[in-house]
Amino acid sequence: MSATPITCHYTALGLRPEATAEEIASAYGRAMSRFKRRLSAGDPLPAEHLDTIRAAYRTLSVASARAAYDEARRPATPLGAATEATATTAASAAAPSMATGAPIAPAKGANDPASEFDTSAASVEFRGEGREYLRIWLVNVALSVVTLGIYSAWAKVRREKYFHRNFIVDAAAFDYHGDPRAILVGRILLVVLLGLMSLAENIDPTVHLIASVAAMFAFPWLLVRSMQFRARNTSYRGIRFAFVGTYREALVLYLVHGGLTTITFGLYLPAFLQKQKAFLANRLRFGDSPCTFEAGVAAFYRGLKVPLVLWLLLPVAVLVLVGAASALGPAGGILLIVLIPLSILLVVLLLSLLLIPYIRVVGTNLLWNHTRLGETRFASTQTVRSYLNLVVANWLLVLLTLGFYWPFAQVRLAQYRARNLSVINPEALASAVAAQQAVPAALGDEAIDAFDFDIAL
Amino acid sequence: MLTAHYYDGRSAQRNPVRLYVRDGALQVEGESFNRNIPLGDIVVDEPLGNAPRCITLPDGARCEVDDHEGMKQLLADAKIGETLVVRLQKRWQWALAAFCIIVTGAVSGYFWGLPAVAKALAPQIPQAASARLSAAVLARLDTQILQPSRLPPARQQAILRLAETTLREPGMPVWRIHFRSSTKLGPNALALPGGDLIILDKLVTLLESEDRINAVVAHEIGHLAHHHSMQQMIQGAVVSLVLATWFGDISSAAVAISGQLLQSGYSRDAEREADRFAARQLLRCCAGSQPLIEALERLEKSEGGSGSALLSSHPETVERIAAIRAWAPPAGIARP
Repeated sequence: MSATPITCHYTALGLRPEATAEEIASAYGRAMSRFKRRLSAGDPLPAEHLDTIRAAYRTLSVASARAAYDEARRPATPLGAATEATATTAASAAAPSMATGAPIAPAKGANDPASEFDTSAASVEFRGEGREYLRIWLVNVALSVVTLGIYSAWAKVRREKYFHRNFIVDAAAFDYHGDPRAILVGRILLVVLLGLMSLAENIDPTVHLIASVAAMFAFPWLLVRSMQFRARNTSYRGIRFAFVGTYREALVLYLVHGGLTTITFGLYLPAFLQKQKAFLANRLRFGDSPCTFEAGVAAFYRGLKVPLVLWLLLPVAVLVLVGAASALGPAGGILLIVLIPLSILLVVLLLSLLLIPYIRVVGTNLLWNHTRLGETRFASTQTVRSYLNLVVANWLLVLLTLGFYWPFAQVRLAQYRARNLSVINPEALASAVAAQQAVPAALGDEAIDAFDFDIAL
Repeated sequence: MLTAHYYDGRSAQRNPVRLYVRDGALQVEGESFNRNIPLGDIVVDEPLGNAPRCITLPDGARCEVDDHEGMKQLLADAKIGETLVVRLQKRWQWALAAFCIIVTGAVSGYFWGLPAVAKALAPQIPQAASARLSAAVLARLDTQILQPSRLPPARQQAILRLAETTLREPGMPVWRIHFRSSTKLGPNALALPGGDLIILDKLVTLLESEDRINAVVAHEIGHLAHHHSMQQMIQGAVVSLVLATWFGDISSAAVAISGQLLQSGYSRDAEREADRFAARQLLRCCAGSQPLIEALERLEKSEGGSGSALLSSHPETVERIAAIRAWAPPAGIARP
C-alpha cells in the first residue's frame, strides 16, 4: 500500500481551524461531490483521498471529537497523527461499497451502536438521460395532443415516475404513485376555477374583488392539499412520505409573513423564506420519522445579504439618476425618457437573471444543510454561478429549439441537483416505519387525491 | 437467479432477496423468509431507462432490481409483456412519428381548429356579457391611454348624423360611437365587443372628409358583425395558455412576444372580413367603396408604409384595396 500523506483534518476539507459546523458540513459536501464527479468522469481520485475526507468529517462534525482533536493538535504531538491513521484504516473498510455503489450495502440498523458515530455519506445519483427522456416526452405530448389534453394526466404520472425512479440515494430509488384519474379531476377543477377567476375579472369590479379575496384564502388551502398529495404519493424504500402541515399554518405563513414581505418592500423576505422552509421541512414525515429544520432567520439574512444590498441600492440608484438628469435641465428630461424604460428593463433582468436564481440557490442550500431526518443529514453544494450557467443555457436552448430542448433541460437540472446533494448517514433511514395513515387503502381520502396543483414552495 | 432489494412496505429495512418464477408464481427468497406470490397478483412497473425495475406485491411490499438483463429473463419466464406506450417510447421511429403528430397538431390547430372554434363560440356569448365586458374595457382604456376628444361638437354631430343615416339598419349590429383623443395611439379606430366604437381625433384630422370617416366606421361595424374582438379574445386566451404550458416557466416575455406574433396572423383575416362588410355596405347605402380605399391610402401614407407583412396587424394596403375593388366598384366620387 502506498504511503498516504497524513494531512490535517482542516486542510483535508480546505477549512480554517475556526470553521463553523455549517461550513464543515458544506465543505464536506463539496469534497464528496468533487470525488463523485471525478469518479463518474472516469478519472477517479485515489481511494485514500475519500478516506481522508471521511475521517476528517467524522472527527470535525462531532463536537466532542472535534474538541479532542483540537486539543491533540495544539502541541503537534504524534498522538494526532496516530488517531488519524486508525481512523483511515477503519474508514477504508467501508469505502468500496460507497465508491462502487455496490447494490447491497451492509445492513446497518439504528440499533447498531457504531452507527451513531460512523457517519458515512451516500451518493445521490440521477440516472436519467436527455435522449431517453426526449422519446418519453415526445410520446407523452403527442398522445396528449391526440386526446385533446386528457392524456396529460397520464403523461404527468409518467414524467414524475421517470424523475423519481431515476433519483437514487444509497442504491434505492424514489417512486411516485399519483393516480392519473385523480390528477385529471384536479386539473379540470383547476381550469374551471381559473376560468371563473378571469371571467370575474372582466364582468364587474366588485365581483372581481370578492373573487380575489376568496382566491387569497383559497391559495394556502390548495398549497397544503398539493403538498399532501405530493408527499403521500412519493415513496423511498417502500415507505411513503407524508405532509402534516395545516391550513391555518399555511394561511398565517402567506397572509402574515407574506404580507409583511410586501409591506416592507422585500426586507422581510429572508425571514419569510425561513418560515416557508421551516413549514415545508418541519411538517414532512418519512413514514413515522419527522423532519426537523434547524436554521434560524439570521442564517437566511446572512445567506441573502448580497441580493438584499443590491435591492436596497436600487432606489438609491434611481434617485441618483433622476437627480443627475434634473440637474441637466431640459436636456435631462429627454435623457430621462430614454433612461427610465432602460432602467426598468435592467431591473427586470436583474431580478429574473440574478436575484431569483440567487435566492433559490441559497434557499435550497439552507434547506438541505439544516434539515435532519432522524439521524440522517444532508449536504447541498449548489453555487449561484453554476446554477445560473445551467439555467441560462437551458432557457436559451429551449427558446432556440422552439421548446423541443425542454426534456434535455429538465434532465440536466435533475442531474445538477443530484450532483450537488449528498446524504450523510443514510443507513439511519432504515429505522423508519410506515405511519398508520400512510397505508394507502386504509384512508382512501379521495378528496385529497383530487387536488394536485403542482404548487411548489 | 435474480438478486433484488426487498422492502416490506412497513419498515424501510432493506433485505437482499433472490427472485425467480416457478409454478406460475413469483418466488421471493430472503435470508429469513420465503414468499410465493401468484403472477396475477404482482404489478411490474414499466421500465424507465436505467432506473431500477420495480415489482410491487399485493400487500405493498416491493422488490427493486438493478439487473436489467436478469429482469428481462424473469419477465420472459413469467410471460409478462410490455404495454403499448412503453413500446412506443422505446424506438426512435415512434418518437419521430410523435414529433410529426405534435407539429401537425399545432399547425392545424392554429390555422383551422382554433379559428373555427372561436368563430363558432364568439356569437354565442350573450349580448349582456359582452356589453359589460365592453364597458369595462372602455373604462380601463379611458384611465390608461385615452383622453376626451378635442373635436368641435359640430364636427362630431356631422359624423354621427352621416353614420346614423347610412349605417343604422335592421339586422346590423348595435353600435355607439365614442370620440376620444390619445397621445400614445396613432390615427385609429377601435371596435369593442359590446358595440362601442372609439374614433380618435387623429383619424378625423387625417381623413378630413366625412365620407372617408364614415367608410372607416363601416369597417369597424364589420368587425362587430363578425364578432371579431370576442373571437380574438378567445383565440388570444387559448394561444397564451398553450404557449405558457409549452414553454413552462421559461419567461413570460418570450410567451408574450410569440403570442403577439401568432395573433397578428389572426387579425389579418379579421381585417379582410371587415373590409368586405364595409365595401358591401357602402355600395348599398352610399356612392361606393371609393372613400374606404382613400381612407386606407391615407392611413398607409401616415404610417410611412413601414412594417413587414408578418408584424403589421393590417395586411398590405395594396392587397386590401384590390380586394375591395373586387367586392364593390369604387363608383362614387368622394365629396370634397
